[in-house]
Amino acid sequence: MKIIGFYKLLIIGLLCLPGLKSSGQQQDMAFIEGGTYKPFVKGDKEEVPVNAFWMDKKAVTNTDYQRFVEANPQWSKENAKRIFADSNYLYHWPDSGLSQHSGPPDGAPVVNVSWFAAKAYCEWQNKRLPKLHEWEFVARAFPKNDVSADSLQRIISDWYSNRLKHDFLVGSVYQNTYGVWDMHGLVWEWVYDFNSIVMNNDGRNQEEMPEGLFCGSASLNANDATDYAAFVRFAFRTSLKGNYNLRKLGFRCAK
Amino acid sequence: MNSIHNFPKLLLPLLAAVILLLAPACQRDKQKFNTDNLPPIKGEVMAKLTVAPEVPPRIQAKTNTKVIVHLEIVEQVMRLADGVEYNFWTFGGVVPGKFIRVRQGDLVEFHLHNHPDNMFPHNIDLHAVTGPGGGAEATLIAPGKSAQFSFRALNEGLYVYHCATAPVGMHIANGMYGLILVEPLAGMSPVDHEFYVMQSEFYTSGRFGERGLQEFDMQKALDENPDYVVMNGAVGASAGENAMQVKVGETVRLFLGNGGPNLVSSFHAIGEIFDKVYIEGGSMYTENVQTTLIPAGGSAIVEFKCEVPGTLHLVDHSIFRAFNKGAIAQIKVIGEENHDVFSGKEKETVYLPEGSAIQKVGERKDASEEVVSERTLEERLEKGESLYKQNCLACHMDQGKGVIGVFPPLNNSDFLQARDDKGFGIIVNGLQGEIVVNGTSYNNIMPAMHMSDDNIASVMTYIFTELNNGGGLINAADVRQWREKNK
Amino acid sequence: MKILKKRTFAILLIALLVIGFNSCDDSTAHQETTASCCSTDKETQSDEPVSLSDMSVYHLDGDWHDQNGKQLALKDFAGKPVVLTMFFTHCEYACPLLVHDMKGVEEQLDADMEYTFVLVSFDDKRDTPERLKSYADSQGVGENWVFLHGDANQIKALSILLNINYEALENGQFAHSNRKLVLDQGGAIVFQQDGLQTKPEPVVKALLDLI
Repeated sequence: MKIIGFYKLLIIGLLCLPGLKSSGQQQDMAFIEGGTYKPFVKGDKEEVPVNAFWMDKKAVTNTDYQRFVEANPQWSKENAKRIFADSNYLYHWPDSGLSQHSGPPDGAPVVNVSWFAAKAYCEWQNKRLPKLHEWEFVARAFPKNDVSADSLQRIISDWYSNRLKHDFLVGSVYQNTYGVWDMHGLVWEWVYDFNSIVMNNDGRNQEEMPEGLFCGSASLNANDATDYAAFVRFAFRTSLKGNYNLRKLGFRCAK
Repeated sequence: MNSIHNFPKLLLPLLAAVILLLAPACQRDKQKFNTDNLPPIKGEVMAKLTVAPEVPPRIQAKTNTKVIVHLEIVEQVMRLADGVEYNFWTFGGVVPGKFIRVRQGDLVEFHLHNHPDNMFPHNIDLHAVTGPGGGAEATLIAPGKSAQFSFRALNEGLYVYHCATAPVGMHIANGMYGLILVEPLAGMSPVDHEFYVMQSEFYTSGRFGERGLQEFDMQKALDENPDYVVMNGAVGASAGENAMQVKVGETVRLFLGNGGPNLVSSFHAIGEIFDKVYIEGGSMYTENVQTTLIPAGGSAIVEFKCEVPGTLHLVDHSIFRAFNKGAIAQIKVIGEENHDVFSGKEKETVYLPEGSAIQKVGERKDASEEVVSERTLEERLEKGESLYKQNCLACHMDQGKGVIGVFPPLNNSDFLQARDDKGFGIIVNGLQGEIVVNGTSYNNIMPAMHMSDDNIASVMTYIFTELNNGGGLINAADVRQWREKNK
Repeated sequence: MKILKKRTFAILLIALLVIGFNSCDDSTAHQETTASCCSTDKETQSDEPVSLSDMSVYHLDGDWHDQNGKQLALKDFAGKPVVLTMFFTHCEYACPLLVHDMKGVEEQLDADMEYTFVLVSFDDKRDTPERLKSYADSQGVGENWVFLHGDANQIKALSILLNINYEALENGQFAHSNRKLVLDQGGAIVFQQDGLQTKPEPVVKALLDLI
């Protein structure tokens, strides 16, 4: 990330957050002043606009999700339809659902949830899943307590190399300048339009998969081919289907 | 993308002309496949996959068959060098990935599994596949998923497979490559041993040897400046006590690959000549080769007969990679000496691909004429220890323990103690040929060390005093005197 | 040199042909958990004629409107086999071919066969029921062709259910996968075909297998 971009973010974070935050009653959400953002995959335009929105400060936890399941029994481990959540849905939960005596710790991010489940959760909260551009926009922000140029890259790199030591709990890795926690380093996160990765802007010659992302043409379509972390995220999203439930994939909501 | 087989008839003459122009040295009779009339498939077998340096046995079925391959992708922390760990991404839990062996014409039913505890999506591009992305598109899978596809092994040869998920370079740099052999249906010529050796490099946050769990360094990868260049996935993975072993008189076939991601290998076996090299893993071979190039994402098959005992060092002859970055594997050849082929005793070398002249290490001129004041025992020991570490430790090891059968010990060495020259001659002139130290025979080469009299005095004082050879201060004057006498 | 160049060119040409052919080739659905038969569905209402399997697309809730302005839910298609695709009417190249491919399938089906062709638009803004009506008329298709309009959220959920990638572009167009799916009477995906100008036979066969 460019230094200028970072200062812009910092200034936005410092100036806009406090005032707007007090006007809203969202304790657990951060206000994200919109702006423009240069997406990883080249599109029609160099930059895309991102409108102002709210983002959950932390990923959804098992405890949060348990409340959702209790209120929406069709999303319990045994009731969920396979077309919306494959057989790995809530794999890490006891079959009977979470209790206080078993299962993962309260503050751990919920994983093994499908896109449909995550979407239903957010809608139940009168929220929605963040869009891809929104998520990436927030994910670029630097850690609050370490604004040196490579601090974010270091977190990502440590995470990918299995060097990151922290409790597997939301709010344990880092908080960025928006006040949002753990955009990197904890779990992958669903975005609303993860299937919007279509490389060719023309309708013709469309392959089933956006092969440009993992074949030789990848570098031709990327804005910054050295941004391997972005590459990894995009490849990851490409490998997903809506009913997948993965052990390292959770989510947070936006509105 | 692989070569395409079904040339229209029009192009065949052109192709033939090209082949004639290339005029191969030797070529196996190669069966051509008409893809409209492929040989029938009978029965099925489960492929046995092996961990380097092992190679699976040949499939015995007489006709083409369906070969079912299951390969599991595992991300795990493993040893890269002593005290150095790395979060490898692997095909089969090992680097290089497990070896796959099929025959030309076989139908391969490939199952790729991405372990649920993995963090990243993966896929596989097998260069042996004729089809889009070598299977890459058909196999992109998230953690906890499996993918299946089938292909006919149309072309014989030794092929690299690798992960082709973006960012491709990073997936390969983390260890995602291996070899698949497509051999002729009737098999290759029989040999006594087949081994699997694959070179590759690693780009780590810390420099070579820096301890702890290392992370991938993108900048070093972009600069093509690796900290580790290794054979079979880690420093020493197929050397020392893990070395491959054969007997004198046996024939060896090496299936060699280069996973890259960046470097081209100048593959060489110190102390051996390749009788045959199947260039780039294809059908054409050449003979009597010292060093063969293996491109990144390419392979070679080499064959040779082990005529004399000793240790063959398989290296990348871009030599700093071998001695400073880890690119060494070893084959120990055990058996009787054959002095008709190689005689150390006569101080003659029948073949030494590195050149028969003894190398000299160190470049200072007129070292012997340098005038220095003498030093105390304490000073000599301190200086000597650091000189030992710089010049001797790599072979003679810590505390002069040596490596049994390879590098003679200096600690309480009967050989050293029996010499009149206190070992000066060995440092100044080097030493080669068979010697016996403390009851064990050694047959290796020590290069001449171009050291000053002062430094020789210090290092020998250290060796005699600290390494239990009777002790005593050695002065630079002693060395100078010895030089005068032996001019 | 000349020969070499020609050869290279030839290889490239053939490679392109092979790739091109392959992209248009049929690929069968990768159903990891095939709904081999109809598992009992807890939520199925007794008045529904067909029980929906766990893998039924028709579990997706939400109201859609067809080209006649009629409000309907996906599960209203239960009972007959369905050929489903996603498209938009302002599409200039791919979608006319998709529709053409669908017609090719219909030509090979017996007139007395019961099936529904469903085309769901990506374009929630412009593809109103009225627009879809005029499009249907211009294509001269029968009553068993249903063109659907829904809100953006429903379209996204359906596309993800069908594993169809798409992206709205600045110029109002959509980049999208070209996929035709065959659903059984209970709404489970039994076959899918990717590409344009595809052979109708595999789709026809998948339909016949359902009857």
